[in-house]
Amino acid sequence: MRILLSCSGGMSSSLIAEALSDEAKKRSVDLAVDATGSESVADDLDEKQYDAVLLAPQTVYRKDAIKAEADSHHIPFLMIPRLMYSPLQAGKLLDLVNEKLGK
Amino acid sequence: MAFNTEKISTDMAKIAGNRYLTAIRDGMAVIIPVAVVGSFFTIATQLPIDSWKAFIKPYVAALGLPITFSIGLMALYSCYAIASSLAQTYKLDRNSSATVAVMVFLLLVIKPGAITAAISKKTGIAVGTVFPTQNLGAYGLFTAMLAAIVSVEVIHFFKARNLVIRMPKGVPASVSNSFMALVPAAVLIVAAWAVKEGLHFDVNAGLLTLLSPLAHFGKDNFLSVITPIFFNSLFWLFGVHGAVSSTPVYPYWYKNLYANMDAVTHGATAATVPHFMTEQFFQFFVYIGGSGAILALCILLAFASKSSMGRTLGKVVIIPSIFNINEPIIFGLPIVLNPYFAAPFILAPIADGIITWLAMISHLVNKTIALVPWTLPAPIGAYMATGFDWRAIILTLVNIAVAMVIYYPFFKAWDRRQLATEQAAAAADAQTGAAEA
Repeated sequence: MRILLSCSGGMSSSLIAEALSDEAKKRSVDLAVDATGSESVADDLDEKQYDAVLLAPQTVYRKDAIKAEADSHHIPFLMIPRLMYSPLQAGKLLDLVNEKLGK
Repeated sequence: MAFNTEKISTDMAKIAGNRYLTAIRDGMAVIIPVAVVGSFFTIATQLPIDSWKAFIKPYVAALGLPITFSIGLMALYSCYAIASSLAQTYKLDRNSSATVAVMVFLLLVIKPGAITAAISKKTGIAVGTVFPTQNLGAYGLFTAMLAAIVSVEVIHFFKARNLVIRMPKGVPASVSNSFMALVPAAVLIVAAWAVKEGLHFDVNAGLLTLLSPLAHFGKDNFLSVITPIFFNSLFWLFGVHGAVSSTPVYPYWYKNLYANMDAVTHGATAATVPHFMTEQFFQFFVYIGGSGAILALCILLAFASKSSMGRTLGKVVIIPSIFNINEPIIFGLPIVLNPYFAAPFILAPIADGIITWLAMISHLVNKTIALVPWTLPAPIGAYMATGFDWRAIILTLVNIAVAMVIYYPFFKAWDRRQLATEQAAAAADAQTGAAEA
């Protein structure tokens, strides 16, 4: 499974993406996470095949636009809850991803 | 409680998510790489080595050239990028929309001059048409935004009502896209031309007058120090990226920075340039470690926590925070909607802003003359942005210390409660463990 994780500029999302990949490796779940900035989401989705788009809580102001992008590519969209957007909460976030996106 | 925080949070997200504000923010971000590189030419003249200064002196004017073509033309680049990013939200062709917007912008703000043979002989400038560049820089940014937004809206309007020339199937997409923009482009260009040459109306001057209340926040005064800090913290406290709240003031900050850079190419130093009110003022002296001067709290968490959550979290968040990435602590602690930290998250950066303001107006520290990458640790970024002033390093350290003092009582209260929770949980575990055994 490959997911795209977007924040405003692609900085904090890269930290969360790393923590999430590490967590997945620990549980030997097949998961690749790419971090990006919200203005590049459309291009990223055109370029590569993703299975889901995740959006960082502080970028909630782009929610509608990013969700529309995900819809137009027929993949699920997930807004990350505030309390899970932390490198320490990667386990919970992975649970949520698995639960919402179904394996 | 009558105070619905979720509702406020949603409303703030709505403000920040405004289609135009987002396009402007994304569009203006494109000039960062060129402006950073241009800035290196400014600070190259300021290296604190005497022999280097003597060596570089004859080239100072020549070193100004990349500055003129980077931040000096920022309205031109921004106009293209804002139009392109707005066009994307409407699924319009980005290149043709942005090109039309740039032409509309140029028509509105440029009055060409001419170099005749006689002038050419005197000045050495080639005969031909010349464009004054002032309006292409930060001075023309508002018109650039307006031209970008109006152009894309008009193209969108025509396309939505099918008032466009459509090519038959089989014509390459790039060709049919450019024809799509033909009718709206004609309307836009004729309109811009009529405003400029028919009505003789100076759109840029008009906009600057109209928006002059905003200009107060770009001036070198006390109010423009504390207002953006307050709103930045407030947005983050409700979980929305704070930088959006300053978007309307950016043109003035860039105008000031360019004035400073320009002064350097004319022989000034970072100590004698006119403006302290730039984005860099906030980036490296106030938002140390990210909004809310949060590095101070990260240090306290990592090294002064008694609770295990504080220590663990502190070690995780301190490194990103050194590079001014604050989301891990803002959502990890969290700061968002957390009554323990709302007050210091607003007060600490405001205190830092006031100290920096006092230091700069009393000439204790140089003003900023360069745009350096915001991910640099504050002391290094401040040192470079001020043209290598070692006192800027001291100031950032003082600001971190002051912020730590302001955060301390709130941190202590949080840590005590956290520790109590942890001890209670451990006691409960021990009890169930004993019961099972």
